[in-house]
Amino acid sequence: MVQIKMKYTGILLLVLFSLSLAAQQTELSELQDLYQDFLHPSDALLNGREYQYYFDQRHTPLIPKDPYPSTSVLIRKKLYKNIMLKYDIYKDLLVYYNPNNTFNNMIVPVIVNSNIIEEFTLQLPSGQARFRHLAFSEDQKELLSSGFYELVSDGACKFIIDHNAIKKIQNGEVVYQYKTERYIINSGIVHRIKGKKSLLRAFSDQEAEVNKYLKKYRIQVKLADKEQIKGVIDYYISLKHL
Amino acid sequence: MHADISLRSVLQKAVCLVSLSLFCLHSGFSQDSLHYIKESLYLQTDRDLYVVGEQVWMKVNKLNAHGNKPDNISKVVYIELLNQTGYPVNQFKLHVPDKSGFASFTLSDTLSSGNYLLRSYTSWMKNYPARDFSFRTISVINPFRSIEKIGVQKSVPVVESDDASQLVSTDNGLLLELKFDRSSYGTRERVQVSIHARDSSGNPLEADLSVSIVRSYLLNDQRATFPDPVHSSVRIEPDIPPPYLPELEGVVLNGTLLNSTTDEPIGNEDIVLSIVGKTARCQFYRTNNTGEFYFNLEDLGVQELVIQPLDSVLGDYYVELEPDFLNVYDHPLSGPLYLDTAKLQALNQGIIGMQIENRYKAYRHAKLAHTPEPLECDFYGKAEYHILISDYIPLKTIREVIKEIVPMVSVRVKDGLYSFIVESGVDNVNFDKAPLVLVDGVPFDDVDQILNISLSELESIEVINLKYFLDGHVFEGIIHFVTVEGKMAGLEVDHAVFRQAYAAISKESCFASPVYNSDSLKSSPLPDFRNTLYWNPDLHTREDGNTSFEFYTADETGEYTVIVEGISPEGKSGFIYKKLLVH
Repeated sequence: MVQIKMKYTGILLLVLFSLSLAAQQTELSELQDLYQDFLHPSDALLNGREYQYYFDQRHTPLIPKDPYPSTSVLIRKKLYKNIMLKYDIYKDLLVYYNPNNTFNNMIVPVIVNSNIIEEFTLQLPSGQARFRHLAFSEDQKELLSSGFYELVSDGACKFIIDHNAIKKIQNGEVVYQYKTERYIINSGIVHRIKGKKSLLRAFSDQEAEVNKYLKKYRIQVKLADKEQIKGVIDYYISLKHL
Repeated sequence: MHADISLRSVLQKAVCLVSLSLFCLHSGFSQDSLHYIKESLYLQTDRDLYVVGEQVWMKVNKLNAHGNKPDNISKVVYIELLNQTGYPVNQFKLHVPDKSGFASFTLSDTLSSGNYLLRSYTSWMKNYPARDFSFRTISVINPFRSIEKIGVQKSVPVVESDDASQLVSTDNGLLLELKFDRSSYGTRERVQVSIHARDSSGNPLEADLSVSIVRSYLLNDQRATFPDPVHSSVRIEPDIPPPYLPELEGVVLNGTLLNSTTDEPIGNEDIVLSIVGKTARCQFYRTNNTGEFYFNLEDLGVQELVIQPLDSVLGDYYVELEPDFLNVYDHPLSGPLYLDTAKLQALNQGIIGMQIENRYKAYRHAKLAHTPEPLECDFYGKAEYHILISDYIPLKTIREVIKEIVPMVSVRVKDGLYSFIVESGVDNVNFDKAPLVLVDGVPFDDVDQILNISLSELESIEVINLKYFLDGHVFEGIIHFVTVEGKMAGLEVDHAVFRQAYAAISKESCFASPVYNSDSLKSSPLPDFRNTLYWNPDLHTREDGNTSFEFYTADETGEYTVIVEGISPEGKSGFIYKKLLVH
């Protein structure tokens, strides 16, 4: 009987706690909605200049190639979901397609002002990617320039991916070759991750342990996906108690 | 068995009923949950007694009124200093982007001696009675004015605790311990202080603290008035927007556009807010049915604001801004000031200290590095074309500059009126509509006046030759003329345009104290008579509950008090005083 009592008391407390938490979140979200309604009643994303197509649609530097509904952008603490966004990896621009923003029955794409974007997410073939506009200090600028980066791991040890494109002429046509570069920022020092050697260099203070981890899980750094690298970072952080 | 089943069934029903009623209650919350969002503030100052001409250093913690946990909803805190009749003698707005913020202001020498009330609130708190704001009483002495009105009371002996160095410690769940590296110090000596924060069970706590070290006679026992978690039950009616909006970014500039002949509000009119300066920071808004508009202002310091309709055809209008500060004072005022007879002699020393410090602190602070100003960015980002006039050979007129140097822009004359034309960067065809023309960040469509600006006054021209979308508007190109002084080069704006200086958000100020870490600094002839030796509003204990700081004593010997007060993330608060002797 005592067990039953405890069980139901537990359920009751859980219900109470989740309701209280939900109420708090609703309160804040309603406050934000109220603020947005008064301060920014128009489409906050329509803030920027029109986007010019400078390429042949067959060789687009815009990702994702196909529109996915799970795209979202966070502007002034408000999350705009299910909107059509594309990221120009060659010019480092976020492009917004509003179906109501048309000219001659064509949607006018707009470059969203990077100053107002807190972050945006895209559904890429490699999974969902969260992008943030990052600025770097003078000593970090040798490797990285300010712009949008996929932020895989945040905190004391950052893991970021630069999605970019190289302009090339192939068979007489201008193409934009998609490529990604992986970086780890540990203690403020930027490390470009090309393979095992560079990864171990990024974690030089725990090199032996990290190496063991790579061997244990048979991670080939060159071919590893972002989740595997994130796993290495999580392991490193656990070693350092960061 | 039957009893068990019946008990289970009763409990199940009870859980269902409670859950259902909670759900209903919760639904009620959702429908009119604005009732339940409540902020409160916790205001701390470096001390209680000041001499006019001195700076008051303060810290404000933003809390959720339900549980007094640190929170971060509003980003602007309004601070007022009210005199004995409740009249504000100083007002400013503080930008607090995080859970706590810091400020300072100088007490004017026009103030009379007496008790003053520091009142702080957020815009959202203005929806609630003024008595729910955060208050702190400070006493001000003006030695340059008659102090006959000040009462003098006989000294009350202080009962010392067992630990002679420990004056008082009060906790509301947060217990603080202070340790000095030595028992006494000489002048211009380094003092190291370690702090440990814990709860009543002895568990270490992370806490957000403020620390001040002041002359002991500049304190009284009115400190640590932590906000009462039980607040007024007055609520905002559902379905009616609250009169004051929360300020989730910067200051909300609220006003009404009115017809100057009829005083009727002008609804559904596109208006623009701009700030005179070299950087274009325009915001556009369509007034609602009652002519109201709302802008978000995140700029620091005093700014020259311009508010005007986007369509210059509208000339019969005026703009009325709502006051920022709340002119309601339905709370108890500060009582009369009584000085302790035992403190009079010491106070005299404090007054001398203030005068010496004000005379010499400029020399000391001049040596401190200044924090660089944040870079400002035009609302349109980087322009497609940026023409710096000084990069080119001198020409005679702006018209000549546009013709010879500025790409994608031309001047057209029609019926004796000048206008600018921008060529689209997409199809190289001229846009149909006139571009948005800015002079020092302000929309200005009198092209004749612009063409008459002296070239010696013009610094640069920026051009965007693409459609620009902003706040529901589409501009077919933007041309921005930036003058050398950034003050619109004396252009005459329409008399109806709202143009006035506006005290926006105040900067956070940093306390600077001298460091005597070398013999030469220690023997510096610059006198040091600080009444506040040290003020650090941003000290945090770590996970293990520990933190430390150091400072240097000044030239005056005597008794100082170290005051540490603060709050934990769970809303536990506490403070501690400890004596420090300088021989």
